[in-house]
Amino acid sequence: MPDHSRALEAAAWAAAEGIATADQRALLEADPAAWRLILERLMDETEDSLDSVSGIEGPERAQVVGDFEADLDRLEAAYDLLLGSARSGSEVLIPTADPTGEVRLQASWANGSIVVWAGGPDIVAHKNADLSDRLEALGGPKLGWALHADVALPNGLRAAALSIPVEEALGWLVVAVGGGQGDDDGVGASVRWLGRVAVEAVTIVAQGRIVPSLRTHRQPEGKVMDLAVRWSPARVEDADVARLAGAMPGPVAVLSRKDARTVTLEVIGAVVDAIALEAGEKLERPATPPVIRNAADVGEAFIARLDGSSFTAPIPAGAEVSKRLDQWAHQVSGVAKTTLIVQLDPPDRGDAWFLSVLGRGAEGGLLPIEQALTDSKRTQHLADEIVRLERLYDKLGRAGGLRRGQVYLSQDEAWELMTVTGPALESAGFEVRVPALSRRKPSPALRMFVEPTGERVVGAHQLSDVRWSAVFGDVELTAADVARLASEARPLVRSHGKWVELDRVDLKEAAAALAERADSTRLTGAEILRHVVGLEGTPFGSGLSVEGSGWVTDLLQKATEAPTGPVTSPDGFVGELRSYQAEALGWLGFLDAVGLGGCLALDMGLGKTPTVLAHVARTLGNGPALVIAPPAVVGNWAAEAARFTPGLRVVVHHGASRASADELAAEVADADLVITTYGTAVRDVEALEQHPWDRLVLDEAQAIKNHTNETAQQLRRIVARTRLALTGTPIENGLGDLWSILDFTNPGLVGPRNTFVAQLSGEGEVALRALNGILVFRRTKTEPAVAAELPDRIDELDHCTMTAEQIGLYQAVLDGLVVQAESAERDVKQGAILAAITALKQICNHPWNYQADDKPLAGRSGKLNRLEEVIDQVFSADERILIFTQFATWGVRLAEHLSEVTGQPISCYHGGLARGARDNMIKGFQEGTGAGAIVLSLKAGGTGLNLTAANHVVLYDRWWNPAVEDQARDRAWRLGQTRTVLSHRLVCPGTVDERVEEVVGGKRRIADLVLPKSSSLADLDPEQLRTALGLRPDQLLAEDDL
Amino acid sequence: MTQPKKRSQQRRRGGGGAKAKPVDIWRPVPPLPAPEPIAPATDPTALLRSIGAPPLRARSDMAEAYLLAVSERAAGLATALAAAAGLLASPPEAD
Repeated sequence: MPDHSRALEAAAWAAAEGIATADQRALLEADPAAWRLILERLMDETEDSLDSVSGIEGPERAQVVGDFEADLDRLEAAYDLLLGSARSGSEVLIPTADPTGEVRLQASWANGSIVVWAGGPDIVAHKNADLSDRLEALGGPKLGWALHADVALPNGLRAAALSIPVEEALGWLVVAVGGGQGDDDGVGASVRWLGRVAVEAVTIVAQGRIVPSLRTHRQPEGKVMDLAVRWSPARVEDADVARLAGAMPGPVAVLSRKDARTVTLEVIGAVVDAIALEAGEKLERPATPPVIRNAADVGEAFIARLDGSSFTAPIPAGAEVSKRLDQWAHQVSGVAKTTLIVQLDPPDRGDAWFLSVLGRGAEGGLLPIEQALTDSKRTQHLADEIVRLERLYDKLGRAGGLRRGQVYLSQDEAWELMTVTGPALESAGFEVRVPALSRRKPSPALRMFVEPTGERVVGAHQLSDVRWSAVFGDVELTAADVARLASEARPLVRSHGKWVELDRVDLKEAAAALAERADSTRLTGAEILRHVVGLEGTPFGSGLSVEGSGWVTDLLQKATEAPTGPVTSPDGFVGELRSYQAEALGWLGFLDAVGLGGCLALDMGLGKTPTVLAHVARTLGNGPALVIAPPAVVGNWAAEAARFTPGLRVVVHHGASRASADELAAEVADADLVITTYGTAVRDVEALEQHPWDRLVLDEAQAIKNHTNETAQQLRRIVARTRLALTGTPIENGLGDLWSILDFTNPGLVGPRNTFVAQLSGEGEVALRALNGILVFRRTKTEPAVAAELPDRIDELDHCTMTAEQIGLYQAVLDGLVVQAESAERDVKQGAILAAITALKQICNHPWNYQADDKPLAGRSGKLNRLEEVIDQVFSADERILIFTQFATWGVRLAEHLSEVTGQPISCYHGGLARGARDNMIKGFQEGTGAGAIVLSLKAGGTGLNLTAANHVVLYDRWWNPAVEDQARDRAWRLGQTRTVLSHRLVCPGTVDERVEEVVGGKRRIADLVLPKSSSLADLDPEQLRTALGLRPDQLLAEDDL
Repeated sequence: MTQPKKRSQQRRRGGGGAKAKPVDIWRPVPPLPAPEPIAPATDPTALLRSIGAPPLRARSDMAEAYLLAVSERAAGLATALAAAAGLLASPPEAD
């Protein structure tokens, strides 16, 4: 026999014996047809065996024949079940049974008591002690047991038994057995079945489906009878009883010898009665009449004995009351019969809901109850049911000129039926059909419908007619609708196909919001946009939606039409944009399409410059773009344009040699991108405003956060088709900063400053959200999607200016060197040159670094200015920064200055400090949170420290060996760092500082610093010295050029 | 001579056997599905109220009040049992 067939046969045997494993069940259920064939073959074979052994003689015959007969019985039972389930179309049922040879706890039903014993097929426990142990192990009741006569099984075995009234075993049966909360090992199928039936009874009582009766018992030869209150289940579902009865294991009925349905109903009845009598016992009741003579006395005793205790009454009186009670409860007691349907139809118009009662007619169809009463085969039953329903739901008795079983309900009554009365009617056995409802109240919102007036003005000045409405879910309400609903006892609307009650507070707010805007019936595009982004108030704590047509709806439509695949490699761009940069590029395209300006607010280090360059390259041909940036990043703009958009014609307009006003036109005509500084732009504003710029870009636009300053005012004179502001900190000091930027990019569009600040809901990043994607494009490094794309470090080179004081000192030191070099000996000359290089580097840092003085540091160094700008941005983001310098004394002074400027205590870590002080300083910085900075000398702090609390590094001055700088930066960029580290190198172009940078950058060797072929610094003549170390005016960023 | 039909073959054709089968109390039975979660009625007195006061002459109204109280308390006990058995249905969520 193939292995599969053998496995199938073994599974069929196991299933017939009720011990199939999960794998065996799966095998059989996968192929019921094969299962059936195997059962048929096994039955044939077993019957053949039975025939052959029936002829044998001797003492073993009965045993052998019995075994084969038992096998055949099991196979036939399994076969019947399989065919039964196949006929009913239900799932294949694997029969269950207690396994052969295993003793389990069994339970039999015996007239209101449970009789337990232990046994299984062909085996029993003979001693009560064994049974008690087993009960205790299974958590059975400790009290209430009584000895019971041995249970005689059909095979002749006798099992020791104990019995317990069902009320004493209720908790165990329901909780431990029925609910599966107890130990299931050793519990027989009969016990589990009784627990399951007890659960069914508990369900009936919990749902109130119980009725009382008065049980009678006539005493022999007497004139009196015993009476006791009993409770019975009502409206029991016939299918439930049948299912339970069909699954009743044989041991349950071994004592009662009743059919399964009768036993099932008896068990349910007993459990129901036990629970209800316990409830009656706990009730405070009147006293029983001392003498019961008549039906009235029986009635009083009925109330007094709701605990189920019996009382005696004359037979006529007791029988009369008992009979009357039976007749009274007859309509609902026992198995449920066909009942009525209560149907509620929502109103087509108005507020009247139609309720109708339906019953089944003779043909089985549903008819209005009045018609069903004349058409049904069971008119009396329907008549009783409608009386019962009318008793429970008095609205049906309301006079209204309609037929019986029909009534109109108000909104309030309909809602009550849907939510409260309906479930009560269902508990009483009626079927209730009501429209779907939702208890989740829809959130309100305001909506404006706009339609251009037809005047020829377009854009932000376009006038539109405006209609206002309130929206609850998908339900739009006019002011009149809101007023009507607010006046109703129960404001119901149909939302998303379900009836829902509106909140009165929401309605009141909606009414107020609509009333407030009632006069705003004609608005400009700018005014509509202000409403949309919440700058004119935010009723219900949210924005409003706009529908219709015109500039704003077009604008919003375009804003929501996010490109399905953001372009990461746009035309004209060499390289690949990150996803958020590509999204920003899409947003810049949107701004162009709708003619709006905007604020590109990517966090520092997220690559605003390449994004804008990609946009300029992509829209080439529309005219030149003017970029105005701090001098420190002008070089960066030029360098990144050369790297990413080499096709762009770039002009850097700054410095003394920049184009004059007359020359500017020719320069601009040949340029795609003109880069200048804020200082130069203000100085040359008259020349710049003569040119039709396609776009004006302000980098580090916090420079205009004060809208009244000279720079902000003058730059407004420059006309461009669109204006773009770039900043990582659009709300550095509050929403006023953002207003200044947005009012510059879209003059007048965002309304007055005070209104803007007052109406924009929330603070900080929350406020930005309302504008995000329309006037602002904001992304931060903390957004997971952004962080995932960032490299772990970004190095930036910042070009810094030289102040007049720095230039003067620089020139003086160089002049002194030249004079000294002319007369000095070779060794002395070489030493002087090296000392001068150090001095020049110090001057680039700050005049104080070269020559300490008592004057304040502020305003005397371009590098210091840039450092302060960087710190400003870092602190705005609540982040921490390391500042490295090779000059320890300067570091100490710098730290003092920065502490004064920022208001934060900033220390300097250098080799002159005691070990403990240095350790505490590092510990304090590393454990600190929020904004913070520390200055470190390159020599003492450049190695060995772990400063991952910082994610910004500034290399204030340069060292000859790039490895030393890398080591310094790696204090922050190391294991344990979870954020991108942004490193700034500060360099003064056109100075010795830049030449060191060239060495560090690998463009020169130190020996070539001065002259490529010089073998020694001392060999240089004065002119060569000036060339090597002197200022290069064409590269120098003088403070004047700001 | 024809062979008598086997008992199992008769079963397959829907026929009953002539011989009465002995009672097998260990015969396998179909398993019952796990009980449904029990959802107590919001008003367990509704069914009793629907049939009105019990016909106890002058004491009807008082009797009805007592019966409703029993019904309510019994539902409470049953609910407690259901909860202890872990069979209580969760309250419906607002949708």
